[in-house]
Amino acid sequence: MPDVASVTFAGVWIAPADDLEDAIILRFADLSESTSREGRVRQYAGGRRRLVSTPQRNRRLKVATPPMPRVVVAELEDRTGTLQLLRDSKGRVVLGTWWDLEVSEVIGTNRVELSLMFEATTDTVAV
Amino acid sequence: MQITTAPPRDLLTDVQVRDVVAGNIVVDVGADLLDADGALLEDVSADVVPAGQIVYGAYRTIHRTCQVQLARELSWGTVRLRPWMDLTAGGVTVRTFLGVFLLDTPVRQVDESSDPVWQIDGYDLLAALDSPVGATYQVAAGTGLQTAVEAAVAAAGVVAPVVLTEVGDAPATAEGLTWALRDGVTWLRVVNDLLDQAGYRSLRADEAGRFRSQPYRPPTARPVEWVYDATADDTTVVPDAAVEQDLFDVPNRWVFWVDDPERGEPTAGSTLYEVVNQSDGVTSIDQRGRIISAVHATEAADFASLVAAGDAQVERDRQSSASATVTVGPNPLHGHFDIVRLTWPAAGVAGRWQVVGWTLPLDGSDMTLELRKVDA
Repeated sequence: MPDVASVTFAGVWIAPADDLEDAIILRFADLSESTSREGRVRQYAGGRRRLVSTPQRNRRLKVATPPMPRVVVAELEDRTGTLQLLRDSKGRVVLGTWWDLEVSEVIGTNRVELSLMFEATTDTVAV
Repeated sequence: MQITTAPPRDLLTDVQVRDVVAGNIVVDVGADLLDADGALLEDVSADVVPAGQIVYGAYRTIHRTCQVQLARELSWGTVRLRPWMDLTAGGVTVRTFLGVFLLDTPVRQVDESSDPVWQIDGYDLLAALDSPVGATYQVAAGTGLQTAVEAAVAAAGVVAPVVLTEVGDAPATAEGLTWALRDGVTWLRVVNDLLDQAGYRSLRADEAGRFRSQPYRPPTARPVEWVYDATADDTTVVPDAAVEQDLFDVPNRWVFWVDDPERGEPTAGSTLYEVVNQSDGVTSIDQRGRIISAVHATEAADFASLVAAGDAQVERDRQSSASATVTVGPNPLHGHFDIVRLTWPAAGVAGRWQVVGWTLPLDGSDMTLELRKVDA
């Protein structure tokens, strides 16, 4: 069997649900499941406090990137609120969108760090 | 109350369930879609918006109603919805069904910025029986209670199990019963008349969509099912309540008689039953210094039924002397005429109370309980 070189792609791949060829690849981006809940501390008789929380109904994935060119951010901004297919190097495939981009300047460069919250939807699409 | 370890909680212990309800909880809601026969069609939880509420009133014709929001359209007129609530604490999840509901035609909320949401009102399965019979209806002498109730439910076109506790072979009626067309009775009235004749509680639809009834027992004779102790470390009592004590019109003498000319003048021991509270509690004749009488005409079939109905009325009157509305953490296990013990020295509240109404928000907020004092 001949030797083969293997390349591990680390990153996140985002493409419009209706045009999977038009993908944006965010190399070395970190993808993490959000486990946040809406919680409230409630007070009861005798001063007792307890936490009552409700889980997020939709799956949410936080995408965070290392410094990258601003042009990528502009492309992602154009896709805000549109149906996208997200895949990552661990095999996760999620259909959804995002509503806000958080951008942090990297001092002394023309690059920015980016994060967005990708919210899964229940829409269906042929891919 | 629902039985703490009944399905779908049958893998948990009573202690586990009670600990979760009192713990630091995660509240989740969802719903199952059932067909007209009560069979599971689909889990529609992904489309349930965590908003709305379940409302229960013991003295309402339809005990349970729901207001829920769904992000999908259903066959509103044919399906049934079974909402549920999960409470999770310490890795243990307690799932509770909140009722089975027939759905009204919903209001569709249109907002261009989000997916459409349907606001739905639902009514428990008693609503299916609350329709006119539309004919003269008869139950033959000697028909068993279970048979008679099941027949009426089936004749109303409703498919649901009928569970009558402690029902034996005794007939529902010794002489036969007839409901005339001109009286305009509903199927629910027919069923409740049958149950009343036998000394059973009015019909209810339970959390899983079964019709249920059991022999009437006064609240004082039933065990405490849940304890709300404001002094406990794990209390879920919210420090906000309205307590009212109204003794003015509470009777201390009751007269029950059978209003049937064919049975002659009311006679003690057969068609007349009298109860006197001479000295028991603050509403007694001795304490009030006067006699306050209440007279009730009934259609009881025999003296035993007259006594049963009379004692039930006496209990209702005596417990109505004090009422309270309290707020507690979400406890979806509440059911029909629950008996709770409430200990709250700061509010001057203690003892056994019967829950005659509750409202359970589906967003995880605290719930309200309407209580009537059980102890005289």
